[in-house]
Amino acid sequence: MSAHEKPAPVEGVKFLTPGTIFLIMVMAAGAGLAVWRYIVGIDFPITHQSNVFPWGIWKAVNVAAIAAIGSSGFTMTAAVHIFNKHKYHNILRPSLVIAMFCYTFVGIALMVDLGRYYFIWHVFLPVMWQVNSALFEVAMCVVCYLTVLYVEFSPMVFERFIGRVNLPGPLKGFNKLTEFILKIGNTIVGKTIAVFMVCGILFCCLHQSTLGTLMVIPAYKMHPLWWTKALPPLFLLSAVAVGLCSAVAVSLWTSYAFKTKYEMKALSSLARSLPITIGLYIGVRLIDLALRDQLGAMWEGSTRSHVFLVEFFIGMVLPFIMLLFSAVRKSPGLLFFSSMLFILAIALNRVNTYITAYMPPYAVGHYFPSITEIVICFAQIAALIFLYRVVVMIFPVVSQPEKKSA
Amino acid sequence: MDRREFLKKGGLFLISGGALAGAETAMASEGAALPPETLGVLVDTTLCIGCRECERACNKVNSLGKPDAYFSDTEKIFEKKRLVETDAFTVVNKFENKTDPSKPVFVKRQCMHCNKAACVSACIVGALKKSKNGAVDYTEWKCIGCRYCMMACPFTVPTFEFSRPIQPRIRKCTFCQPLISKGQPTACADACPQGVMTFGKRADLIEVAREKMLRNPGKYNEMILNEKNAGGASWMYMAGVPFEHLELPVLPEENPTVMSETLMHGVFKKLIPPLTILGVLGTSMWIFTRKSEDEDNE
Repeated sequence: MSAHEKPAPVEGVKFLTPGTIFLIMVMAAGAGLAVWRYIVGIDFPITHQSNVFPWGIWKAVNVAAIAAIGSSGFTMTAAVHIFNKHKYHNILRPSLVIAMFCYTFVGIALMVDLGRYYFIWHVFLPVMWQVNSALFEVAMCVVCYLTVLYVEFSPMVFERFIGRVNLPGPLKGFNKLTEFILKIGNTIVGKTIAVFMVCGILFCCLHQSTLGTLMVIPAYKMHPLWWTKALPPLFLLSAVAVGLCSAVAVSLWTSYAFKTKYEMKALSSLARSLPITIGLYIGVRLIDLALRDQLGAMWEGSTRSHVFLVEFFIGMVLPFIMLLFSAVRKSPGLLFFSSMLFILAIALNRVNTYITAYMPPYAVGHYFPSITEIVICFAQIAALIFLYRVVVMIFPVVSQPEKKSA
Repeated sequence: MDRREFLKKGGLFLISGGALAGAETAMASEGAALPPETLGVLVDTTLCIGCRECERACNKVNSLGKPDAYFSDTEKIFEKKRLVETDAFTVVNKFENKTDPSKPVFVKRQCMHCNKAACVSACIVGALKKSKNGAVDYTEWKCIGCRYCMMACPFTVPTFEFSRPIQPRIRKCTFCQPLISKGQPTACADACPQGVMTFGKRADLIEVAREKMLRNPGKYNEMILNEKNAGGASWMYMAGVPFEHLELPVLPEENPTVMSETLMHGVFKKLIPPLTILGVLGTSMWIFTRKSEDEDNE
């Protein structure tokens, strides 16, 4: 970390840009439709889920894909705090905040998608624990990791408010108490954060791979291009790769949106790990296809095989090749493009694994999401970006040159 | 950072985590073999005439609320293939007989009550359980409506009350648990005028099927469907035409439930993988931090 730079709330930027207003509109539309969903249920035409296609994009995108993108948190924590690469310090906080909101929205997505969302707490009752269920492991690890993320976020809250507590009006009397609580919190978190970091990485390794195990059990309903017993390691490897990509993309986008300087030195260096992680994933995927003798399936000419070609070659092989060149890694635009491409490919991979590859018996037609499903899906993503913007403007997330006058 | 503090706390955490996961692996290993009292039904599709009396009986015993007259239709209803529904736990479909077109084949569909059922393994809160007598039971109050059982089921059996905004339920054939636990046959088997369904202990039913095959050489497929497919199921089928023509999924013997559970338990096996990850992370953290401290001191 440069000596003259310190994370600080972004200032001097108008909050309501046209883009932000668009986000708010999408969120409002989603919220309105969500109310409708709670009144009438998740039947047709609210969703196009059915007895034959019981899971839709709320699980594929808002749970699986968003959790994968939220890998930025654990990969960057590992890079900075486990492997002690402090040169990436400026990238860590934005990736943690994005991860925190990604995982928060995994929970919110489940509250929208579950038929009996108000019983979600059943998962935490030991009497109902069903340890054979992959979904159980995902739920447990996601909740544990979400806790870790909030703990990892808390230092930003402490930094922002310790010594600056100023509650409005009648609450003024509690200023000292709040300050005291914050200080105690800061001390406790400061002493224990290493445990949280290490455990957080473990939880991520576990549930990212288990998100793949989830789709092992419908074995005989799955297309061979996506179904393999190696789904867990594939999901984990892709989570690592996509986590680094989203850390890069988030940092670049933040600099662009808030007109702070691009962290190109750190990002170019971090981007050197991308061809390795992406290449490893591509390699394992190809070897798995070859071992199962399914390489030919990608040329079978069906819609599914075409989707696979887009996912694999445009979304994964192309950014892999691009990132091999240092010119790409040094250019903010090209680096953003290639990492974004891989992020979208992994999102598509999750959708493909959960929906496209799913070929249940007796299926008439295909599942395609309804307008409501799509709007609510994007509203959650919009809210995620919106909240990130809010937090970046309130809390010390983005590193900026230190002001001398303060 | 205070390293001693970290190690102490980390140790405590590991011990408590270890105890928890140890309990998990112990719980997971139970229930491998099928109890001898497991019941089953053998469906002989060559006998079915498509009268839909089983559907009527099922509707009545489960109070599914379809009008009686609905079941008198044995012509038009077969024009379309039907799936089990939230208000129809069993449906009979008519299939063309490719070897003898004058004899269409009628096939009853319902929950197969698999021996090592995917839905049971998938259910996050244990709302679906395989009972000792063979029925896969659904406990409504536990269910959170995640529909993973529906994703997991290889036969597309569990249905969900999508139209209910509050308290939607998973609905499927109950194997007439209230009846069979009292030693009575299922309502459908009891109602069948043709004796299509033989109700009894699963192990005996396999004998019955083999004997039928011996007595009528060439009449039946050699395979008893669901005897071994994907670990086997309580409901087994015999047919004179390939099962594929009857839209009955013929699953390979390898059971995906076992694949999934092997992966799941492999990850937690004696806690070795998670502890290894923790160990590697902790050690790396220690090594890399010390290295940079040395560099700083230079």
